[in-house]
Amino acid sequence: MKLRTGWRSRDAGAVRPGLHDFGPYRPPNARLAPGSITRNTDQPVLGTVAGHGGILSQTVVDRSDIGVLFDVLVSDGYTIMGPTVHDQAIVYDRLDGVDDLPIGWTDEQDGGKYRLLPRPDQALFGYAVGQHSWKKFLFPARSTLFQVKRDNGSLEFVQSEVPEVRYAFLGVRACELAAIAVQDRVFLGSGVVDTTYQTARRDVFTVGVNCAVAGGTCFCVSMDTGPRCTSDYDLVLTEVIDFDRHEFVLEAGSEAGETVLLRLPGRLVSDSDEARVDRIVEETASSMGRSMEKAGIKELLLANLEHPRWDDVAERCLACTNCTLVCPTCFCSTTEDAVTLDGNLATRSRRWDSCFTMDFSSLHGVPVRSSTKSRYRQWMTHKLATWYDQFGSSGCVGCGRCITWCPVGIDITEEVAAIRASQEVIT
Amino acid sequence: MNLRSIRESSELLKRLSNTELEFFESVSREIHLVDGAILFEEGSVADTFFIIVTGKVGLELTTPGRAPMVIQTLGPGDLVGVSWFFTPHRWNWSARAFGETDLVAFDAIEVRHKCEADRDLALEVLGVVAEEVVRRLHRTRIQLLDLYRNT
Amino acid sequence: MASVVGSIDSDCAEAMLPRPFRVTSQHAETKDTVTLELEPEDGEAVPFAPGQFTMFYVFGIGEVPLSISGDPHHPETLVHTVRSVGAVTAAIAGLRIGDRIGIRGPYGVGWPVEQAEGRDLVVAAGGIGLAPLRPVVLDVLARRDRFGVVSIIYGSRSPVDLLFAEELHSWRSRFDMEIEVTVDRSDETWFGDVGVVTGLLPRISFDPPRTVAMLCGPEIMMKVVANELASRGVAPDRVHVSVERNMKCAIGFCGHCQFGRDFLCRQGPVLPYAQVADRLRVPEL
Repeated sequence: MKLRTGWRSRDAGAVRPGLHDFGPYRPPNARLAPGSITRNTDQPVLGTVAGHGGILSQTVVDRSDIGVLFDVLVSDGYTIMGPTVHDQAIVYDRLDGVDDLPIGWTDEQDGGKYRLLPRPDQALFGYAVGQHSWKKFLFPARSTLFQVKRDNGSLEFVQSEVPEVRYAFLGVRACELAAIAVQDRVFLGSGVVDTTYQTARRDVFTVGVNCAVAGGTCFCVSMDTGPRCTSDYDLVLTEVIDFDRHEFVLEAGSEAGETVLLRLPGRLVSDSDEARVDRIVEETASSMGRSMEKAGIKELLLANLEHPRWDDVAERCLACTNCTLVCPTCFCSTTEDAVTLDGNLATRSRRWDSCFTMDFSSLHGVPVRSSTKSRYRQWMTHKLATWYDQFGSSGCVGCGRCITWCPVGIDITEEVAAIRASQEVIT
Repeated sequence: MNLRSIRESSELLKRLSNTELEFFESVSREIHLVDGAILFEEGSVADTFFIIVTGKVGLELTTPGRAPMVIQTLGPGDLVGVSWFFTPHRWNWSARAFGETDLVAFDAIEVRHKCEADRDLALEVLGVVAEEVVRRLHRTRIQLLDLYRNT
Repeated sequence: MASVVGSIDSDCAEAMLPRPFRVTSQHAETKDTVTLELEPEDGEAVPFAPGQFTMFYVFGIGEVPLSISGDPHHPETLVHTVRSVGAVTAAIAGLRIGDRIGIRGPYGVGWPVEQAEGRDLVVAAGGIGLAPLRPVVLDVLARRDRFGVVSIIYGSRSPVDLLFAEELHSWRSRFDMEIEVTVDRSDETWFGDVGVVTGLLPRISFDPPRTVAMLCGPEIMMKVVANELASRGVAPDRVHVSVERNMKCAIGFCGHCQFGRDFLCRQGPVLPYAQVADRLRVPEL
């Protein structure tokens, strides 16, 4: 198999191939990306994305009929992944039906704190996000890269097959749609395509959810990623519960979403339904658990790489890597090698890694970032600052997971605010 | 001897005014050394100092049972010897020419006397010598870091 | 997908798959450093630019980034000069002729040799840093008339740690190139310079305003030389350094090689000093 050669050297004067130079991201496949519909302007289609004008394909489905959504997706060959209760948390796992959803549960989250509480109603989506994110399916924690057979000294390298999957993600929050888009940029948009990610991502059917509950550590409003799903979904639903009804306002965001929506039993959407959705989203937006001023954040952090606040946070940080595990955009990985006992077959696999480990920056056996301070600084400045240079956006979507799942409750919004506040003091 | 031709290459001579340069010229003479010739021995009285014109001089230390160890080499424009300026005016190292070497030798005793009379000159010379010491200290420290060792 | 000049236009799975190579020659440079020559089993040469590196895979043990130290005009032989510092490199240093390994690459942005055309070139190497610079010297010597004054300064730990000893001799006897070598500590056999490599700068005759410099070695050494060059009037955007960090994938995915905003496997490892001076001053960046 021929391996194409790598990057050629460039003139020092020419623009270096910065990752953000790769132009606007275009989805990797011919199939329409969720959230965008090409429109033959001669013939109006049933629905278009908001902003393009025309009639959105919408419907209102009753709670008693929502199971049909599952049936339709299964009959279309999807494996449905979504939220379910497990070990006293809401995780993402395979759903066999409506009853697998965390019906009647909500979550209480704060720095270093997560617990499930029963709701007074039987909402299906009445919670924020748990420790899992959709990267668990698109960027699996472990995958095999290749195997090497050794025979009398000669080596044969065999690329491993990427498992074909057909997922439907049911219950994707706006911040999570943003996170998937961020990872799309990393794995698909920078010149080399990650085939594992691409294969999983290509056929994903996304059902977004407009949050009716703001989590205790949420700050999607600050990061402009929510709480309303605005793009990159096939379907989006908003759960509406009153004393006399329990319904879902559904909207299609793509042709694929269209074809599913048209097979669901529902009634027409009225103006008051739309107004209700707006109100729900507004209420969520106004009850965010956290906020972060993101204007000028890149310049702020990069100008303060030796700020005493880093020493402060380093005293609390355990370098446990929880934040990187739960963060929906963290993408660092490492490679591992294993050999069979007879020494004739070696396997190289990829697994998640974290910049918080001692090993991560090991150079000739000695870590470059040996202090916890330097590793925390690396994570935060990458996530909030250098990510802009690399990928043209922030790496943070404001989901709040890192705050919730930090055992000591370190809060990046607080860390940023502290550095910002002291700016006048430090000259 | 006329020092103007080597003035630009020497930190010390660069700093001197024309009058001061004339004084230095009056206490200088040219020297030519063959490969291996000794400029001064460790421990001897430091009553001459040198500026290299062409060639190379190595500063060395001898230890019993071993050939001399070179700890630094100096080239054109470099000042050979700083100990002449400070009491007890004795050399800490030996200096040897590597290859054919031309130098200008200066009478350190005369220069020291002149510095005692002319404090401005003394300050200038001290400044150059001190900078040279700092530069060598800096470089020696980096040598000591053993940067190229296998960790 | 927007295309980019000089990018790998392939997929990650393919890009992570090594090609089998065979060791054809092995030569000990010093007690811990070995130069290997390798050839591809499928006969397809690996064209590379000076300063680029490959990911070198040893069966079942692991993979490390290694600078290519060979002649870019003769890429049919892949040359690597390896210092034994860990498990993988120790295994590489122990390879025998006929052994098979895997190679991916070449990767990275190399030395801007084109910028030096029509100008004076200073190559400053410290320790093993001479290996990634050797391809520059060979490239320049093959097209010597395109460059002004060409000078090499090379600092090593001690006389026994000098790389490419025979080649250094032949370079020294050329009239179209200056080369000065120094050691941090001498022994009884050494009659050359003793002292840090910056001490060699006054010995070479380059014209600072029209000089391009390429530096490779320990970070402290590169900083000291770059600062010395700047104080002599060489523009910081014409001084280039090779920054080193841990690498796993070499294709911008694993996140390990980040140095501030730059992925050294893609925006580096060679970077203009002007761009990295600030970052090199921050400890543990």
